[in-house]
Amino acid sequence: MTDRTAELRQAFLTEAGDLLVELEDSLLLLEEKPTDRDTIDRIFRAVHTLKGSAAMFGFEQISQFAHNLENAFDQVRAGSQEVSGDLIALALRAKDLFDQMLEGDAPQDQIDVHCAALAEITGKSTNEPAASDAAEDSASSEDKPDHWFIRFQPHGNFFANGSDPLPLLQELADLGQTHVTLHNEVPGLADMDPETCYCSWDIALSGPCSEDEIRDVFVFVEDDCELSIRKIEADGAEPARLGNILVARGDIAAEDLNQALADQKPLGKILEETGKISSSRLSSALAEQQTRRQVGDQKARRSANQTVRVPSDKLDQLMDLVGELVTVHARLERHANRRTDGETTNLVEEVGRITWELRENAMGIRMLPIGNIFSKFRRLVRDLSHELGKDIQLITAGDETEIDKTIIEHLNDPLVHLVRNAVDHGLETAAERKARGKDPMGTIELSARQQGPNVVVSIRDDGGGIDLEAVRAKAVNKGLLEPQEEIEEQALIQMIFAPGFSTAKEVTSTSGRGVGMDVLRRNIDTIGGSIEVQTELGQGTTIALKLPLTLAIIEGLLVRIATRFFVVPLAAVEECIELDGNSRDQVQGRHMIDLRGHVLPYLEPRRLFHIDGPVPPREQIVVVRNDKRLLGLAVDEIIGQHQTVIKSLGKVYRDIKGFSGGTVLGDGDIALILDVPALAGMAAETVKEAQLV
Amino acid sequence: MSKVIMTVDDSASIRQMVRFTLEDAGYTVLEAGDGQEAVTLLDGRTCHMVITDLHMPNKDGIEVIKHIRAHQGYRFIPVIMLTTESQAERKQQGKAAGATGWIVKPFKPEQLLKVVKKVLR
Repeated sequence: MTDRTAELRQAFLTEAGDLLVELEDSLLLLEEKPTDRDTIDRIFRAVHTLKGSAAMFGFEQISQFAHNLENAFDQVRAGSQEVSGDLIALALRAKDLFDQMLEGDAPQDQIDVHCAALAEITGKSTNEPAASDAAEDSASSEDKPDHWFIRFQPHGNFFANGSDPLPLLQELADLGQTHVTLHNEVPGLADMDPETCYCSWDIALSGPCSEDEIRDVFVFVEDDCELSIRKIEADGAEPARLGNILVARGDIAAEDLNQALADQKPLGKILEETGKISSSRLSSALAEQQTRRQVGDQKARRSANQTVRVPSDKLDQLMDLVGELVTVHARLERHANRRTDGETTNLVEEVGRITWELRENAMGIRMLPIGNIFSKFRRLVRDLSHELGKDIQLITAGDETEIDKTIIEHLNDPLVHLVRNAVDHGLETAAERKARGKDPMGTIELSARQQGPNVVVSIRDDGGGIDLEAVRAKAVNKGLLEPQEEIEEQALIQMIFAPGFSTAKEVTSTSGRGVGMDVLRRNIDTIGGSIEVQTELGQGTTIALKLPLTLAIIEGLLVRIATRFFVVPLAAVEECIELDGNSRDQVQGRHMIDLRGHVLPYLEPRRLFHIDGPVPPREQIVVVRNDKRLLGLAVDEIIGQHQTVIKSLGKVYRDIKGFSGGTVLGDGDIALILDVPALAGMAAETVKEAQLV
Repeated sequence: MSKVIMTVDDSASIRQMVRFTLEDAGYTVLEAGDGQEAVTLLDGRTCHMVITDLHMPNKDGIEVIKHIRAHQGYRFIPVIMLTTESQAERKQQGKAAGATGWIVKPFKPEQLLKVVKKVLR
């Protein structure tokens, strides 16, 4: 950076020299033709540019001095100042002083004398600040209230000056937490002018910013919109009522409010039904109400709102305790349902709500930004690129994406594996890249983003891509594929995750250390994730890991087989259907049913796990999805959705296939959690065995 | 695809400073030494934003802004004017011609980036 600063200063010095030569020439010319407009303009521009650049590069004295001279010539341009011999003499003397200033040895007293002389001519005070805004930094540190209501209504011609509302809303979001409500008044297509802005926005902003900072966001558009900014104050003991907020905003009249209150239905509903307010205005006001409720708490909290470092095992303990609480609550609920005691039911519901909030909070604390592990890869990539003699840059994106710390711990090895793979097999050497007309420097991009209940972590390289023909040949060679078998591209790519599959021609120190793609796949399966691969020959490969946000508690579907209970992770469940005698069919020893015209294979955990007991006449099938393939699981009864606190099975049972953990039910019973990918694998093996027979 | 921003200024040092700052932030930069050059460069090529000085030989900043607003391909791109004047009059003149916003010289690189983020994301 210092190089650049020096470079920029040098550029300025060169330019200033040129400007001063031009200034001198023009002044001499002006002396001959005192009324020549072009010459006057040239002088003005030279001085003006000098002033601007000087200030930019830290030559305050020159800028200040140029400002005085500029004033004089501004008056000449405007016709209020005559080009006198005195003026030209002063300007020429000023040029000499500029030269000295650039050398750095201008005597201050001469400058002062000169400024005074110029001021006499222009009649302006010399100490007037150069035109930069003095107000620049003064506005940020005053009173800092936390909550704001902003109504931003752009005029119809808002776009005409190249303004765009979106960056403004994003800039507001940078100031704090925002809740944005859109008021959309876009007419039908026939009446719509695509160059007109029909939208307006209400923003509830919570953050440590002043009104000036908020106004500053809208500084370029203040004439092109209606803008109101209001501080939301804590309202003492009672939170603000919706009606009062709406009346205060002028969205409804007080009579409408009284009318609505008389009806005694939910206020917002009535207002909406009677057309007094649009649903967007209403939800905006509700957001403000919510914000107001929080004001009181936050004010008290702010003084102590600092970061605390906590050992991570304490977080694990907290999560365990929350898990216990969830379990106890389930028991309590069961107990309360058996009694007809309204009071108890209410209390149990209350406890349930608080337990849920506690759970959300505890999980939130365990979330860590994924950037923590991304940063480790800089070193890895650097070392690998030296080792292999490849020129590689690592880019990361979405570092701030948060994910449960247990998952982060599970993610390290797979990511190391994938990055090594990308460096070793993915990226070509600089020479190969040049030959292919690519940038000799290879790029690996690690990125993360949240997508609904999942986080997607992807590793992209711009290398050679996966050679699908090679994969196919290998698959045939390994007996995974018939020579002429038609297969979808995705399915073919997924073959690289099959055990013992590797397309690398040779084993190097970087890869081929026994950690194959199958192990990687297993690791990701264990944490309930999935892998997607996109590749284009010659262009590169993207491997996306789709991971759950948390591992500690999942939503599950509780099912029963005889007297045993099992939990199927709800994320894997597609649907539940009934299995009657007619739709049963057995093909190749595997059970199949007809699912709306498609053949659906299903497993009987009853047999798999050797559970005794009579088979009911009607079984239920839970249809689960594993990697785009559907699989049925036959059970006796589907009990319902269940908040499942996952407990590990302990060392002894760790290697048992088919289960990913256990959980304690409301009545103290234990349910095992079914491992869907493992079961799907078992189902596939059943087919193979059947084929062998 | 990085966004393309054009800097129009008769001061080479200011153009250079704008270029360094924007390129460091990942933008692609086009340079024009005066208004006429800017207008010639805007021949339909991709340009997401223009930062222009006001006082320039050949064509001044106001004319550049008017040209952009009249051009079908660039009508809605943001145009930021560089000005040493904080007087409302200058800004009004620019705004009337169609400028999106302004930066008062002298400015620091971070101020420039802040303004760019305000109009282009």
